[in-house]
Amino acid sequence: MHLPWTTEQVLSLAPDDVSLRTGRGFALIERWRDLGHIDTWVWGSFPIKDKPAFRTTIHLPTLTFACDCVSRKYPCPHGLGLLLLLLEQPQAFAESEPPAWVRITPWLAGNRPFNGNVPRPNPQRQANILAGLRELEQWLRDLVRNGLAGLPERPKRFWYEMADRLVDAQAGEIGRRVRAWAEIPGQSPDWPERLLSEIGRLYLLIQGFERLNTLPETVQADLRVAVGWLPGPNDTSFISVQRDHWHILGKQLSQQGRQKIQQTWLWGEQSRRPALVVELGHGPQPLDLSLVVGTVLDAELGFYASATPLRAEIGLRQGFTQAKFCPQGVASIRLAAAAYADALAANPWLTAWPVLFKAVRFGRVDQCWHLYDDQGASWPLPEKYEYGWHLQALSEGATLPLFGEWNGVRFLPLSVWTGGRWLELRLLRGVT
Amino acid sequence: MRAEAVSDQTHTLDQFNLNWAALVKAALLGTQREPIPVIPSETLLGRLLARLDPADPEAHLLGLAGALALYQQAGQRPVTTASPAAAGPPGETRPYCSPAVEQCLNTILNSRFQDLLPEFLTALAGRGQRAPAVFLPNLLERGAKTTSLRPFIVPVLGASGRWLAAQRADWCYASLELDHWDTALALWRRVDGAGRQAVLRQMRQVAPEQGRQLLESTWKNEPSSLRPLLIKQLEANLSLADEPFLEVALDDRVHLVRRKAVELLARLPDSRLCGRMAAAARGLLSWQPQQAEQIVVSFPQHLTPQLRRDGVSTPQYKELARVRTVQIIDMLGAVPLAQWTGTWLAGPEAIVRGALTSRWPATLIRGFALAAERQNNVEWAMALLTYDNYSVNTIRLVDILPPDQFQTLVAQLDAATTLLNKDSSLLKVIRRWPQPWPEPVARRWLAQMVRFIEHDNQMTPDGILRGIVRQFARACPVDLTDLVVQTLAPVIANNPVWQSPLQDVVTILKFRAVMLAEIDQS
Repeated sequence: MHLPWTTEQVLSLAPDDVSLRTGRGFALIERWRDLGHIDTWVWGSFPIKDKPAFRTTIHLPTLTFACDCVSRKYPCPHGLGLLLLLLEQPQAFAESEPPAWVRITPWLAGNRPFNGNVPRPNPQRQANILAGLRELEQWLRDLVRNGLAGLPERPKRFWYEMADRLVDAQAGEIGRRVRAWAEIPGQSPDWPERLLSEIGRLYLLIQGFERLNTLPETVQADLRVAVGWLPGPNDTSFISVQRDHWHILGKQLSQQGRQKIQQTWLWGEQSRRPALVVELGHGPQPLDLSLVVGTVLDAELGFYASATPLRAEIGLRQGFTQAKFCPQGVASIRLAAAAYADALAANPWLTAWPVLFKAVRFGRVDQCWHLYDDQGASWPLPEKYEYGWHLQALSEGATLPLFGEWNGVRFLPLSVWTGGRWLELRLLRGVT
Repeated sequence: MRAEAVSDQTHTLDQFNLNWAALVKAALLGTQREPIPVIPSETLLGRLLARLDPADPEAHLLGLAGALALYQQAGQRPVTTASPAAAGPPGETRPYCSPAVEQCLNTILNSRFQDLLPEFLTALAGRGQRAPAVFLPNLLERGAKTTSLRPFIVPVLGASGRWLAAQRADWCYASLELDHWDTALALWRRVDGAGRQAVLRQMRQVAPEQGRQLLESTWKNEPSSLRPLLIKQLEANLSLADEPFLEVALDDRVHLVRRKAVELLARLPDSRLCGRMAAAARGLLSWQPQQAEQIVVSFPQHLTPQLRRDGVSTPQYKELARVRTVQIIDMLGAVPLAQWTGTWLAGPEAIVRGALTSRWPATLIRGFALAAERQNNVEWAMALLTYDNYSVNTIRLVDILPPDQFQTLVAQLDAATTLLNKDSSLLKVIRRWPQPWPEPVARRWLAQMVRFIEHDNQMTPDGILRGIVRQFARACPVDLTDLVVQTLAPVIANNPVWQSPLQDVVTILKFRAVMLAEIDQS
């Protein structure tokens, strides 16, 4: 049985520190009974005093976990412990016929070919969004007519109410942006500039959406994504399909209300193109864990329509391997900035642009971390960035390959290539 | 349009900034009051913006802001400056620890058992290895917050970790600059009060003499609030070389500095202060082994200025007896113990027994205990502990016992203890012991603990006992792991209230055994 993961990568699956600790504590052979495997399945039962044992199953290719325990975490500590044990002591799992309780139906439809569904037009949603955006436009006009100067006195509610109305109008992404504005007024000396540029860009977006039906297909698609109208799960009308070895470079997890969002960046080994796989989880529904940073997925990716195609769905998966090298990155910040400018020219609504740097060093100026290339150009990292000292320690003042997102203002590092593997920065304990 | 805007070179940066500033001003004040700036129409951006409707000022301003913002974002050139990154670390000689050891460190830092960190770091340093780069910021941060961890952390940082530490003020305790006098002095001059405490503390660990020289270089000008905190750092590796400096500090303008100087000089039996105190104390106690009251205290009529300078305090109590208690302890604490055994020709045990017959029993015991502690006198410590029955006045002398002496003491007490209770001397002594337990001690404790739990299994575990059980898991030699696991297995099964603390003992001991084995093999 070949496992494509390292211990570090398996530990990265833990949903939080407590699960990590407990899971590690369960990775002991004496805590398990009936360990076994067949093909791509492993299982074990975890005896509890005075109660029926918990029975845990893992489907390896999709990293799908099933367990009888009542934990709301996913994967639960038993699943995590079982996988760690498999990694450390594979000989403890005998090949055998699975007991009846092993559930052999992964609930993630991970492995399916593309079938080419065309999205149905949804005029009602378009009308809802447009009505919300028109209200927003009027609100923005009032803001600049009365002047921004009084905004620092406004309560947060002032912003949140508008944001909530936009969410109700099914323009969730716009709502999220307006909600974030509540933090801008008065926060730093340049707040009027920051807010005005946000407001101005949103105004352009409204103008674009107003004319949605007259625009080319790709521009329409980008506008829809920009307001938060994402392609549905059955929409597989991809503009291109690409088979490649996709290096999984970075992952971001976030939560909006009850919705969990998992964004994973991939990088084509042959095609040298980035791809973004977004997964939304609602409530207890688990997210797909199989896209582990530092592994390489051999698969077809279908790219959604866009002037800058990034978002993609995974089609047929041929399997994962451990990354053995770092794909070739961009050599300088100037080149990365030029690529970003081109992308922004094609898709003005773009929010985050992935950049894989071949070699950058790090430095701190005025309490803010920057990255530098060997031509002396620099990009600032986010304010109060927590992992700058880690990057500095890992680089020892020299250069390292780095992957992250550029938003036109600041660069957010997601992972760094060090010691022959990708290290996800979000897994470290921050130091400010 | 966007692509053209990006390549528009005629629109200079200055012009852009001018327009943007005017636009921000208009937005701040509101279009009701402030006109919108006009962008010169000969530029490409100007031509595009001319299409906006000037009769609709809000739309005009919003459109302009959006276009300029986008223009700025797309056209932004990365700033070009010389990288501020210092030159990399000097040549590294220590190898990184193995991946298995790295996993152990990761476990410690993210578990409930973070107090195992010193043991881990000591073992790592013992093998001449260093912590992996990715852990350096977190270790340095821990050291910055917890001073007691610093002596464990600094040795495993390696040159690169100490290079990293030099880049941040609150990590200066580990800075590479401390290795050379010139750079250490520059660092000392650069840092603030907290930094100087950290630098001095560290210097006293590795180069006590240079540490004091750093202190002397700025001592005259240190503020009153900082002086006591700085002089306190001389505690580490105190020696007679520090005596002249401390003798001068007896006349310091700050009271707390004078107190600290007295305390430090009293730890040096060869100091001038101890000599003066020995002379003054000659008349204080008289030895009458034949009498019922074997030691008689006769306090001097007048407290000379010299005695006051040497730390005999004058507390403001109403009762003279309380004042005298303090003063006798102040004096006895600074008298070399050899003076009593030498002039009275009696051993510590006889003298301690004699002290208990005097009219000031507790006072004399406390005075002798203070002297024994300061002078690290094991013979006196044993006499005081035994004859004062491990009371609060003497129990902290357990700290200065060498392991074999501690082991002997535990053996005696163990033999005398049939069943533990809250007041057992055995409990008090073991609880106080700050170092790893010698193997026989761990064996004896294991047997006592099991006997107690089997006897008294219904009671909720008592706080003190629970504390020692915790301590046992961390201080027991890992060679005993199998024995402990086997011994505790039936106890855990039969005693539900003790299940969780004892399970922890097993978990921690097993982890420590694996951890130390991994470090040993690497």
